[in-house]
Amino acid sequence: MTTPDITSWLRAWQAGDEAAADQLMPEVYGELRRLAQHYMDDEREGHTLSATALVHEAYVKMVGIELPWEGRGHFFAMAARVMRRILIDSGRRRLADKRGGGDVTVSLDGVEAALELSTELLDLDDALTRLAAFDDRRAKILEMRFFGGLKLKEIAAVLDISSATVERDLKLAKAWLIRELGPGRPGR
Amino acid sequence: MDGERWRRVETLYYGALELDDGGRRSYLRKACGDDLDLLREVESLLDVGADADRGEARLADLLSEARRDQGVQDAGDNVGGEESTAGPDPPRTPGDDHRRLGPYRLLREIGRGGLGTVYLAERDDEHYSMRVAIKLVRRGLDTDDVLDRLRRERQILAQLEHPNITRLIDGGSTRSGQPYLVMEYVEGRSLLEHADAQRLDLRRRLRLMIDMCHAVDAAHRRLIIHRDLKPTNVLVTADGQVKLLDFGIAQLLDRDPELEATQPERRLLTPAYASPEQLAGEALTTATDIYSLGAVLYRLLTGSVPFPGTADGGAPNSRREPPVRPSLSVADAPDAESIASSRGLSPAVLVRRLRGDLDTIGLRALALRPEDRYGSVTALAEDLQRHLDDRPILAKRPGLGLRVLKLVRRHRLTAAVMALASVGLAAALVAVLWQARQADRARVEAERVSDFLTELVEAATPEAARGEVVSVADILDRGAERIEGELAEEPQARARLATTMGRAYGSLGDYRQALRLHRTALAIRERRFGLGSVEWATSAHEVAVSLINLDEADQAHGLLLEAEDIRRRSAVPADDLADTLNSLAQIERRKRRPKAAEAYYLEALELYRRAHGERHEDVAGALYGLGVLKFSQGDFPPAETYLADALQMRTETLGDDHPATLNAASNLARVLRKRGQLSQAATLLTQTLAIQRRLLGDRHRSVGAALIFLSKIRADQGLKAESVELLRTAIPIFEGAVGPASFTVATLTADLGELLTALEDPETERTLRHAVDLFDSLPESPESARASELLGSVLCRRTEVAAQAEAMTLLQTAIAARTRLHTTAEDLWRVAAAQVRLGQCHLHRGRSDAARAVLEPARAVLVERFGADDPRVEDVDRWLATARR
Repeated sequence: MTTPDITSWLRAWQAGDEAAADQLMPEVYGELRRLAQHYMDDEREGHTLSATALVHEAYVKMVGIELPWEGRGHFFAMAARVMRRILIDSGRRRLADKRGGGDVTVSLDGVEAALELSTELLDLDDALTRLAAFDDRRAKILEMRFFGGLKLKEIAAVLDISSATVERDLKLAKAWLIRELGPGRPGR
Repeated sequence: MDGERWRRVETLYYGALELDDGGRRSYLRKACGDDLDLLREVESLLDVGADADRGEARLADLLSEARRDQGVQDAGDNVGGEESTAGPDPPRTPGDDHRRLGPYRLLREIGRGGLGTVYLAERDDEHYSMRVAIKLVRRGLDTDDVLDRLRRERQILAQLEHPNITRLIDGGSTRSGQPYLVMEYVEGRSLLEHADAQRLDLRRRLRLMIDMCHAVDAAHRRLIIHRDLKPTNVLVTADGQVKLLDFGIAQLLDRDPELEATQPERRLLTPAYASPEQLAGEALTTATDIYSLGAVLYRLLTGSVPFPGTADGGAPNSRREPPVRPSLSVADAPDAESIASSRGLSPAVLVRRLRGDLDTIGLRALALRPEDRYGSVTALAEDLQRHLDDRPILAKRPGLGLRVLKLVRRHRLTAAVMALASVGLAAALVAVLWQARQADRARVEAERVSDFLTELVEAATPEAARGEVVSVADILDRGAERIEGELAEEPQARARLATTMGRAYGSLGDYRQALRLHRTALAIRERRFGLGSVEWATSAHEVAVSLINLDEADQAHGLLLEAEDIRRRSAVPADDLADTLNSLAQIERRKRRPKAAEAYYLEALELYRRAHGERHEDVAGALYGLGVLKFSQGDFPPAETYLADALQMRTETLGDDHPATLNAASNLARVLRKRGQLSQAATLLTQTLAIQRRLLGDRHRSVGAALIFLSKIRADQGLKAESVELLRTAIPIFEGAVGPASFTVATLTADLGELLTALEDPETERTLRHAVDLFDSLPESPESARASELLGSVLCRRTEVAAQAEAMTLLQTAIAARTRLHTTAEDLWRVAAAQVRLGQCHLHRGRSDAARAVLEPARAVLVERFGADDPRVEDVDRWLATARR
């Protein structure tokens, strides 16, 4: 995929073409994984890399230019979607593996921790999907916030609304999400 | 929920947010009217309130954990944090006052190493403030595996309390998952700095060494190896106290096989002080620490490391020869003058002081092969102390003990003990050590036990020097004594060792010793963990197993039921519970309650399958038990199925030459014989026999037993000559194993004589006479009566008067014996059968009246017992007819 392709797909997706996301997904996915691996190998002491920085680097690598403000937001939104898929897929896979008894070398504690993590992830994903059915914008905001690590300003740019509106929307979205995930879960 | 309703929820939610609590209530009631669902919906959202932020933080943690699993790192601060300007995150320096880890505030960086960065930190709370050193583990080392291990081993390290070891206080991981360890903070200088700055003389340097040895020994006794001992890991405080750093930490983090395989350069070691086996990446024992202590000693004494080329990590492979003697190292050093003066000596005096004892001690500790080093750190400390006290040191040229030690360490015990004792013993011990090695944690334990045994072998050297045979059993006995004595103050280590050695004894067949040791462990664990604890159940199970093997099933039963109860209630691994059920099944089987036994076996089978899958040695074990159970019930078809399954599975999982496999094979052969499949039984048994011969040699008792069984099958097949041959081969084995005048040999000789009788072999009489002679020195038994009967019948057919007279005596003796032995109504027929032989003999001698006088009452007894149609009765009728003629 060439750079013009990427920018045009991005524009198409921004304009509401969900199919464009499927075109972009593999590209972004691969790049994010490579970058993540790259940073794993890095031996610099105490090096940490935020999700946003990671996505930024992915974009620079793919498109070859520093992100313009609007493009950056959209790309981040895209990355948030990708990140969600990566994490949910792996959670699902792991859940299937462990329940199928595929792995016997992991200690009981390890399995339970992994299961708990996976279950919570899937619950989160479910909740976001349900929310999207009646409030797409809030679902997107949560997705960008949690999976993409986007700042309010960036979310505002992607959705073309004010930061204050994002903040306001987020308030109810968070309350709804935490309630949905129940008292025994993240709200604890 | 539909969009329109949601918009109403939205409006009410934001509207209510503007109001205070009281206002909200009336506002919502009014707005919702009858729609109670709507009211509840909005109220529940409002109820989340402040919880939303906490929930969000928790979600952020969850996601960063998930990302870390994916290899995507995350600062963890972008979600739910303060809005920040676009651009890279501000660098987080440890100097930053906001930098906290849990309750600790990081003050400054105080060091960096292979593991990560060390910070000085402070714990502040209302009660006290304490300075600690925090080791933040390097990125890349924080794999799941390492984290998991950290969690487990931190608890073990936390037990390591010794005045000369820096204590592990706490540990945890940062929000982004980076693990850290909190250690006692020690203000002091590193060993060499201290020694040189204080211009310590040799004696004071040696005293520091001895302190270090005691600290390392304390750790070894808790099965913890340091693996990275070097001068910079030893601090000396202003008042001269030695403190070892990082105990067990290298070990804890350096056991990631993947890391070692892919990035060997990341192995945590310091080449100048690392043992050859460590450089070679081999499995490590406590001997690696002894080497490193030797290297530290060398450096402390001579000012240089043993292999100077490797100080900066160069060419470790050059270590094929021992290092230069410490004294020579100083003599050859270009800066000998300054080295000597920092020890308050002249070069010549330093060389002289090092020559002799200190050269020997140094080289012994630095021996290239672990087996040639001191057997324990204590032994090294002891020699250093002896040198200080001007007593003769114990280190000497490697002798027999050391050579055996080497074999124990290298798990080639078989070879060693072949020379010392029998193969069976050795194999059993190796099996136990090997099993212990299976589990990661148990590996160190096995090493400790192995070292322990090694010391015992060393201790046995005087006897060996006198030409006495030292058996593994002797060695174990010494070990058992020492467990009682030396480890008395370390109950948990003692319980573990007792358990391991108990299992060793169990495999050796010494169930009494096994029982004693397991009982020791049980008592310790009862005190330490309490009666209903999982730990108690482990030992209770072992005690019960020993009792079963000692035929004390009644005592075992109660313990097992308690262990079962505990294990069912606790989250122990399924196979632990299965082990207990399996033992319960054995008890029920012995008590002849086949239904209960079967139920236990089937449940154990199911649990083993769940724990290990369809094909596993434990699964095979349960199948074997079921097979033997069915066999004892006389239910041969299922017995055959179970045993055939067990045999195949054991062949796959344990190999065709494992004792358990061979057991399954011979029991299957027994079933096949019962089912009349004689040639199959013979084939199976012939194969088994070949393996046993290869494995155990021609003269092993198990080989003898298999020969006898095969001999019986051949006899069943009518192949009497072959049967005789097999028996003739078997008898000398038992003469060797249990003595020529033993009951077993006498019985086998009688068997042989019986076979020979049927073959009308000329050796018959001699053989039977030998049997009778053997029985003469043994207590009276049905077998001795049988031998007399057999010889009597043979002699009676001879024409010589003397022979016939002897025959009569023999037969009358047999009848008298049987009359004494068989007192129950059920067994009376055996007396009658002996009387029939006497009657036959009377007939041979032409004394019909006497024959009838004996045969008639005997017939009555036989008819009573077996009915008139029995072949035995028909035989008697024929002889009676002759007698009446």
